Amino acid sequence: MAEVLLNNVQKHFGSTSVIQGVDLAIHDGEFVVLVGPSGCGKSTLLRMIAGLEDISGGEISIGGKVVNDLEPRERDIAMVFQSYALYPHMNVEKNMGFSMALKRAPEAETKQAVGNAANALELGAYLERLPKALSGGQRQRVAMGRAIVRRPKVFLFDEPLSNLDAQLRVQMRTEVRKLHQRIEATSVYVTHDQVEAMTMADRIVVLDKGRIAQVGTPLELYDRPANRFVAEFIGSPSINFLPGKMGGGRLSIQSVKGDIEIPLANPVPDSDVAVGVRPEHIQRVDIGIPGTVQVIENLGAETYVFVDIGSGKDLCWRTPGRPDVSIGAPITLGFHQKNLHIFNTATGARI
Amino acid sequence: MLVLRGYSKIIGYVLLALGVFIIIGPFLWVALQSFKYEIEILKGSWIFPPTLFNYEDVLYSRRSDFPGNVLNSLAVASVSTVFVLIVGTLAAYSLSRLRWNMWISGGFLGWTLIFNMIPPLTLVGPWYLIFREIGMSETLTAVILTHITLHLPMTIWMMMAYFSDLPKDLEEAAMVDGCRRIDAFWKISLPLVTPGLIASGVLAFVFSWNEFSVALNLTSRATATVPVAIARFAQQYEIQYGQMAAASVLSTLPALILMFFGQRFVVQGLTMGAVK
Repeated sequence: MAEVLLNNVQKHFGSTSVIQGVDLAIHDGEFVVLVGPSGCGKSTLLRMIAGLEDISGGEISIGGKVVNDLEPRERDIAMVFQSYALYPHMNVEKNMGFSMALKRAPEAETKQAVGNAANALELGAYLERLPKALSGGQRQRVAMGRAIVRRPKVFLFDEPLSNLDAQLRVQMRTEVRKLHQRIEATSVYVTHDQVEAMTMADRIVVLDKGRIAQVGTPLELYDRPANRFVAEFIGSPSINFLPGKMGGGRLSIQSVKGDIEIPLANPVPDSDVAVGVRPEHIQRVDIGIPGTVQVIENLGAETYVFVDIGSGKDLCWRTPGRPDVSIGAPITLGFHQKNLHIFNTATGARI
Repeated sequence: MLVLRGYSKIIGYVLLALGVFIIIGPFLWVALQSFKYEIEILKGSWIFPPTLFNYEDVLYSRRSDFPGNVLNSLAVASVSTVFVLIVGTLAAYSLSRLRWNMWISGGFLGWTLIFNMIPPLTLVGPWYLIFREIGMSETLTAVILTHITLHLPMTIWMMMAYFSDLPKDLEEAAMVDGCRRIDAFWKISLPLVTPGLIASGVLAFVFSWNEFSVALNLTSRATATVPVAIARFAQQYEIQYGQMAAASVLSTLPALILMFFGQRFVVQGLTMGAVK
């Protein structure tokens, strides 16, 4: 159990900066998810914590000890890889007990630790098998078992579920979460899947181009995204953006039928803004923004309706049940002022 | 896999048979000669009373050096193979895993290729002079050293293909689990490239066993290897066809045995990275 502190951590490959000064405190026992689009540096950051990548600048400490110059084996961590990285020439038992064998732990102790982990992960029947004789989900569990047997201060997960099929992924998601609730070890989990991030994290760290875009609980990020990037990244289907202007104590949103004016409570300086509204906050109204239905996606419990309102990108309306709409038909949509997220067009920051 | 039908199947088999005949034919012919008396060989007869005289003469007669030559060859081939494997595997691991400057690794690999690009005979002259200067002329050690030099590049390149095929994650996982890099190499990577070790070992052994031009120039009567000894059956005034044939057949045995057990790995090794 340990706290992980990142202090102005940087990573450069030649002249390109992959991680540009990250400050982050991961508390003892916390499950933190690093999320972001590909190339945002999330895996690099995790590998730096693991000691598999050198740190170009700043400081990383685990359990109060600066680990910058420590080898991976000296950091007391365990890592689950996307490829599982099981040792192909060792059976499940040997794979899971490898870290203890290296420490020259007594055989009985190793056997017990492996047995316990195997039981918890329902792998008891497969201990003698080689990794190639296991299914993807079982391999995944062996990789987790190997991490558990190591009894590390910190668990690191590098997109561990991305190689599984959709159904198994959902199942493993809950299993990883359950595992964490039982062991309560500090965990850092990297994923590009925002649904995984939302469902698993105590706190989410959204990374964008090597910088932290926002840190917060899943709902904080959803309800009050700090900038346009986070607003777009968190939430599925993605948030809708409408071009707007602020000035003279009012917000005006452009639409084909003329601007919609909304009076503002607090005076703000004049600026171009992007007005964000989540698909579920849109309603069908009598007077509002007119448009034509382009695409209807029926998911059974809910329906996504994509509406062309002449702003370039279709507006997504998410509604429970099955609304009475047809493709090509006119529709009028509206939303409540309190559900709007307003971002400065130039800086992307929330207003 | 390509499936042939009808005429193309017949043509395919004919071509295949032709290929096999071209490769095996001369060997069978030599094997045939090894069971004839000298007179039958000179008569070129196809029907003859078979004899083991040539084999007995080569193996047991007092004037024959052949058993000694076999021991020489075994020593040269085994020792050079062991060294080639140790040095080649470590070099290949280093080149494929550690972050070398491109100029250093590229330069090194380019340099090793030189030994495969220039004819070995070009090197024999200088080597002969060098070994004479340092007093190692006509020793087995000299032949071993040259064979290591000649066969190291092939091993480095082959083992590099095997190491590059191993996912990096495996070693990283081992290092997170508590290994030093050397442990990760020894306990994880090396066991996984065993097929590569077998393949390059078999090839290095067979190449060394068959190597003729360097051995011819660097050995004496006492240190001659098998190919040199076979050539010696053809003297200025007499060619011992029967003994030569018997020695040739005998000399193929080690390679044949090795290939029999190792061919699966050799074929896999030579075509590795070709697909996928």
